[in-house]
Amino acid sequence: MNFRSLRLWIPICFLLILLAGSFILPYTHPQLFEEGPPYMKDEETGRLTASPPYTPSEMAPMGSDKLGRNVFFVLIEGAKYTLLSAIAIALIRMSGGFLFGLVYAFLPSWIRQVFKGLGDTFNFIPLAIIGFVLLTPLQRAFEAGSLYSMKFLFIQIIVISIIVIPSLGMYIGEEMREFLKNDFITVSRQIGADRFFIIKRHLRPQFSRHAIVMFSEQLSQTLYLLIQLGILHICLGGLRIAEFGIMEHRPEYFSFINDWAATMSINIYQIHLYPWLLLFPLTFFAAAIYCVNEINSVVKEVFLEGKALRKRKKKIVAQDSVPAGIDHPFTLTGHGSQKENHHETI
Amino acid sequence: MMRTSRYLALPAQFLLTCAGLFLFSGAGVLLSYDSELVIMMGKYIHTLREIILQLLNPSSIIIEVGGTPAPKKYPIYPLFFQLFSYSCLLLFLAFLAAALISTLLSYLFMFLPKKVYRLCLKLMDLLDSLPDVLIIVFIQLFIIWFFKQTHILLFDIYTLGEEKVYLLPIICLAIMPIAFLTKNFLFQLREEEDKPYVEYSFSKGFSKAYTIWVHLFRNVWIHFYYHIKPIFLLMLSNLLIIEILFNINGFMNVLLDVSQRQPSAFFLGMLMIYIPFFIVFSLGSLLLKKWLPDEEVLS
Repeated sequence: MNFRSLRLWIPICFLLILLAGSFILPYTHPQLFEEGPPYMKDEETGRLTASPPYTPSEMAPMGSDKLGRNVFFVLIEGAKYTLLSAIAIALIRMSGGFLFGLVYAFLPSWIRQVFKGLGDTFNFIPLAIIGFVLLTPLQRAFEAGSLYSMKFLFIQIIVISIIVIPSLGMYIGEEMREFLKNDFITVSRQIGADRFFIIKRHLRPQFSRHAIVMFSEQLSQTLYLLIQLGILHICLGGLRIAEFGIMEHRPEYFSFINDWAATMSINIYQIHLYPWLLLFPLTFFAAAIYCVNEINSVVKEVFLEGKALRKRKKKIVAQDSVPAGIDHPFTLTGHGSQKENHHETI
Repeated sequence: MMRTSRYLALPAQFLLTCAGLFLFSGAGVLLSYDSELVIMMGKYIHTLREIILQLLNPSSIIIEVGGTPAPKKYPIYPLFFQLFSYSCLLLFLAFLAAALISTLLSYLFMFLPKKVYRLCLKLMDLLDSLPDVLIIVFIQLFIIWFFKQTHILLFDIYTLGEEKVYLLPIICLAIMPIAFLTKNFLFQLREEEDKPYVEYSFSKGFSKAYTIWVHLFRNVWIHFYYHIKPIFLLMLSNLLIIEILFNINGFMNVLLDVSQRQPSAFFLGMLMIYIPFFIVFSLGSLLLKKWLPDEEVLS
């Protein structure tokens, strides 16, 4: 085990353990997830010392929420919904994006321009607002009780995936077009390869490596988006509202599936009173995002830069040795997708 | 032929994106649910038609701001633009600060010994994976904590009524772009470092400080152009979150309010974000084309 493979496996194991714990613990130790005691008493004097929400020092390790449930276990329980939904969203985005990209790469140029102009729209509106605009009517339906949590979750996953597909697809399509400009593809075309052959022979091997990298990128972006949507009170599985104010408007939110964003979103305005109710869900998010980023950077090194995971192989294709970078007409400059335009002004 | 189409491409793209924004502005009524998920095409088209009608008579657009029980009503004209100029100023100042600080940071990073440099990169990665919400919450809590310790209130955390805060939102807004830009600058600097002109400059006896600042950064700054778009989007979504968490009555907050209740104002608001940015970005691309005539400049 060398350093790089450790860097890959530790985060993966962490996420898997989190997921496994989230599935197994509620069955083996259901008492951990129930509501805690309604108050805490001092053993000797019999005086009340605390009432929910308990602080982290009163209820280890992360305090409790307003119902007295241990936040740590609430978060563990919610992990499966948050992580699996994020994975599902990333998967749908990838498959949709690649389909869209394939179509886009082979479209005639003027249609592509139209798509580009229309798709540029999504570069000027934050995704959180797009999601908010589309999902708020459904959230209202959910509040009114005409929609089940699981069904809402399913719809949300689809919607959150779809809003990214146009821009992701265009990005992939542009990459593909860049790749299709390579000499060997022109040659392949000249000897009579049709589109499907080129897709099968040239695009698929090249872009299946890209897909793995992009998947992990999409995963962390989805997690970011879930937090932002949480701030706007759009959470996976929906939030139920109960009116607690007697004379004034004071809504309290409840979530059925307790995903991380919901746990945070419920308490967003209590930040100064009960900061742990906000900080710990966010810490879980941060840890998950850090893991995914770490996986991403290793995967990127392995698949795109061609570094080996275990040992360096003896044969190294001298891909990066582009002499001088000055337009050298007889040099193969690696793959077209090796990214970025290099400008040199001396 | 190529020439004319190139000149036409920019306005065409502008119009198309405006059309895209228009189509999106009605999207609030697109999805609905009664016993089954329905896509309300008819209502959607009806909303779009209403938007056009209202835009023909812009003084009739009333925006409602504030809580659900008793929203305040304002006509669109002065309020929208006042809020816009405030939020825009925040964005612009934060962007400027981010660009300056990340340039300085990455410049200083280049002089660090290799080990410290690696460590700093690791730290940057860590900072990058922190959700922006967490950072903002941390800053808020830190200010409270600091206030409790010393009774010095560093910044006003919440805005009440009409007063405006500047410093705190700008700091929060600048943090994410700084991390993003510094990372990218360092990546580019590392790429440039191996190139022969750097060696040439060293061999002529120029110092490292001079070479990096004058020659390397000149090339790195060109890449800056490619980062503007993602940074802009990043900052916009950050601005939204900051306005919500700090309870600032800014443009993004109102835009969010309006997105459900008043699609025509929503459309205008999005145009107001898009148009200045489009101008800046196309000017940048024109300048870049002049500067690097033989390069393919992406737009």
